[in-house]
Amino acid sequence: MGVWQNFLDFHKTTEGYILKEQNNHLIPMPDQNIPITENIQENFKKIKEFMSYPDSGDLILRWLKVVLPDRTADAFIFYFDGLSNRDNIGHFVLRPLMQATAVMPPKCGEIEYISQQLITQNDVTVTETYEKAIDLVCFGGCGIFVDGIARCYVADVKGWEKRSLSKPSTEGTILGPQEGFTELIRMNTALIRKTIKDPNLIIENVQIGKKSKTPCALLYIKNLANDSLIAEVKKRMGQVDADYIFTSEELENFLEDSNFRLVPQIFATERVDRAAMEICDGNVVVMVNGSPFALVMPATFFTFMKTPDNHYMRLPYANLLQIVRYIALAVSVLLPGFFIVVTQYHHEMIPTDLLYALEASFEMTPFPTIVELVLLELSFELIREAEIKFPSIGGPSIGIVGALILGQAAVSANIVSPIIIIIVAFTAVGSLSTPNYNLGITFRIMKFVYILSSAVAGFLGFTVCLFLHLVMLCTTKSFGVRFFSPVAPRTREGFLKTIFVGRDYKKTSKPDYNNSKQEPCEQNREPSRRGGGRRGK
Amino acid sequence: MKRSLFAVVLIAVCLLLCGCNYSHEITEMAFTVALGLDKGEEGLRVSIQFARPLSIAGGSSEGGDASGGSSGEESGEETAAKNKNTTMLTIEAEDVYTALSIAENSLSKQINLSHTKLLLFSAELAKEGLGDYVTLFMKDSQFSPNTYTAISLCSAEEYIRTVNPSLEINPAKYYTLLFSKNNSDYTPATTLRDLYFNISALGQEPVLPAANLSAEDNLHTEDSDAVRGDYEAGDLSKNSENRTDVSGMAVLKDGKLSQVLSSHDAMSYHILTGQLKQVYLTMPSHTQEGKHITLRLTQKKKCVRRVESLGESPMLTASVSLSAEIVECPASDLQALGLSGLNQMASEQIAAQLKGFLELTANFCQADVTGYGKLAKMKFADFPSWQDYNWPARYPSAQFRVTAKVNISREGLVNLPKENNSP
Repeated sequence: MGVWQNFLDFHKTTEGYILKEQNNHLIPMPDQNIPITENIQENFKKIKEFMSYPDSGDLILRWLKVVLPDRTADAFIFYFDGLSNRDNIGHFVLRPLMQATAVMPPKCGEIEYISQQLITQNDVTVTETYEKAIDLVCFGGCGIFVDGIARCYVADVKGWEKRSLSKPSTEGTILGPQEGFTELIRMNTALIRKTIKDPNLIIENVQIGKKSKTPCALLYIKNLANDSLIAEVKKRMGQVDADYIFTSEELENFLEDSNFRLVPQIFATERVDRAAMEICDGNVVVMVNGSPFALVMPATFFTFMKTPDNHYMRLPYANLLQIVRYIALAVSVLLPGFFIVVTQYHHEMIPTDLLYALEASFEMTPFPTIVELVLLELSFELIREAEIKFPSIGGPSIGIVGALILGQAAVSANIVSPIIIIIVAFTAVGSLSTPNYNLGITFRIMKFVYILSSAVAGFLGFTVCLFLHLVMLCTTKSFGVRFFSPVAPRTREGFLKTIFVGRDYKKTSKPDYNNSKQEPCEQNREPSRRGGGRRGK
Repeated sequence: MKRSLFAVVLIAVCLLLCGCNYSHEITEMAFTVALGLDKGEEGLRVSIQFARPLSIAGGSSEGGDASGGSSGEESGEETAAKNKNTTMLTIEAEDVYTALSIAENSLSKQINLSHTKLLLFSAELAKEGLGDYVTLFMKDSQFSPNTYTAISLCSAEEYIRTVNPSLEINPAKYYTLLFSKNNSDYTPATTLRDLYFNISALGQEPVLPAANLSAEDNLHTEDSDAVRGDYEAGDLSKNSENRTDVSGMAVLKDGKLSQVLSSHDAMSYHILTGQLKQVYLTMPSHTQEGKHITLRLTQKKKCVRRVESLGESPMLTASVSLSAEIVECPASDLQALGLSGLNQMASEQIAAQLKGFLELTANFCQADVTGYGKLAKMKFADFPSWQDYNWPARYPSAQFRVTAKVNISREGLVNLPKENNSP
């Protein structure tokens, strides 16, 4: 106990010391209410102080003379090189200010004259505080201070390099649109606005991160999304207590119901059409600047298992693929455990012909089946991780090494059985066929739990693990919606409509698990004969 | 948090309860393919046939030796099977499980019975009764109820040792295909489950396929019945490198072997129990001596059997409806008899054959093999009154009325004699 207390004390002391030391050199950030003064020198000094000039090498500060009707005033502009468009600054900020060709109308003050007559950039914000001005400049604006005016004009001249629209890398489809989100939030919201031409589509701007002030957007359809859901999302976003947040994945950790649950509770998509469909189903989407993934909430198991292909392919093939996907998911999580069960405990379950083939293949291998299986599964996880890290440089090499060493050489050397290779390969293919990457990872983890429980307790262990897994999934909630809605608890949609792809193109109804405000015609629609009325919550 | 804790505790309890004591690698097991039971000099002679997976899977041209190279002493005797895909061990002991435990002493692997495909009883042992053995095997969780059973008219050990499948590499597949009899109606397919239920039940006596060894060259048999296709196991007129032969059926009465019947009787059994798939019926030609009429019979409707009356002599009826196709028929017969005549002739022959079979099993074997007892049982209000009626004692005096209806759907292309074609 004493050692532990010393450890804690040491850390406290050390942390405090470091903070104290840092505070001596800390750059003071502007308080929220520091007003801008009329003195241009004072303003210049403050800006230099707040923006760490000249330590910040990309900050440009430039003095100029602004020609006003009755005087020529000193002024300076400041912006970040690379973040703002230089051409726009030259054409629409500097030239009009320095040439001042516009005539000042009567009853017009200097403040309005500059913003309304001189600066021709299409978006200009006039602020009275340093904090606001600095925030806008940090997001690509160009700040303008003029002597004798206690305002800062910020022209929106964003112009950083950005990735152009490209195909979604993780959610590819053969048919349908091929647009994916980019890292730029405004482009992403524009893509959604372009897709959903509904004036009721609300895109609320929110800032996340005390210091990063990352721009985020909250998207929903006003007369469709559940008000409680919108309020809950806003509440959780408001409660985010972090200095820096840069990606949607980081934000997801703050928004989801429980970080310790294995399954993801928020669905992330980089497809524009998928995000639009979710919004039209009454869900709420959150976008974060700098991340090409939009967060959809609430998300259920069936949200993760659905793909846009369901809407683009003909019904028979879409249903076939849907069934294959569920089988692939079951194979990816259950097959290794089940293999251990039948080869270690229940030999009678194996067809006799297969049993002989198994016995012959295991005859020359030195390790127990469980060791072989776990080793090979771990090896495959390593290969997959390596391939993700270096997809272009090391991908082919890793593939060859994995296929040759793990596949052929290991079997030839009688280190592993070819049957184990087949099982691991089936599991891997099943895992890769899982529509959602996050869900696939979850089930990859569970696969090892199934292997362990099966090795220890045979079929009993396998079934107990399956039972607990299902209990865990059924009790998981995403923004108050059960993970297995609308199957458990069953809602009006029912099992078949959820599992299989119906005539969705008719758009006759919307999902009811999120208690969305249905269209007026849908509210008048009579509930189906079976089980109408029970709604999952 | 509480739920997670509960889940962890539950899993831990499961682990404590089970452990991995019952875990066995497949390679630690010797899987039996066939088990033969003979009456020994003092006790029971158990012949165990094991598969050699390495040979079956093509991993080794020679195959491994599951017996570990040791040979039995005193009551044990190890035999080398002719077939390299199997190995065989014969032990003589007081009972089956003693023999198995003795066998394990001479084997490097643990015997596992879960994949046994054939349970073969010798006729000599069957005459003393199979009830105890069948009950024993049914109670054993390792034994699959779907294991096929048969009676060997020769020694079970000799039969299993002589088995030499030429069309299959896998002995398990050989036994499954041979005794499931999906392609033949000349012998019944009886699993351990069927045998157990019929031995225990009052309403039906069990039948088993009869197996035997034939002479190496039995092609020139003098048995005229065998030439016509009506033969018993071992009498088949054939010349094959595989001397094993499964045909006809053995009838059990009170769990003991009563009679061995021929392949035609087995066909009748299949018709009456509604299991007939396809047989050929051969009848002598009416118009041309030495020629035959051959029909292919299939059963699309189940045989309707009824218990008309109960009394000292129960009155039992059977109505059979069969579909037929002409395989071979002289045109003169077709002209003379017409389709209706052919139908009538075939119906009469089938009816006579079925009635003969029923009377044979009732009077000679005194065994209700087709299950009329199950129908009779339904006419009693309660089980004690059914027991009091004593069906097994009444059945031998039963009267049978059999009607058969053969329906030839089409006569096909008929090639008439030349003199009839001339105008």
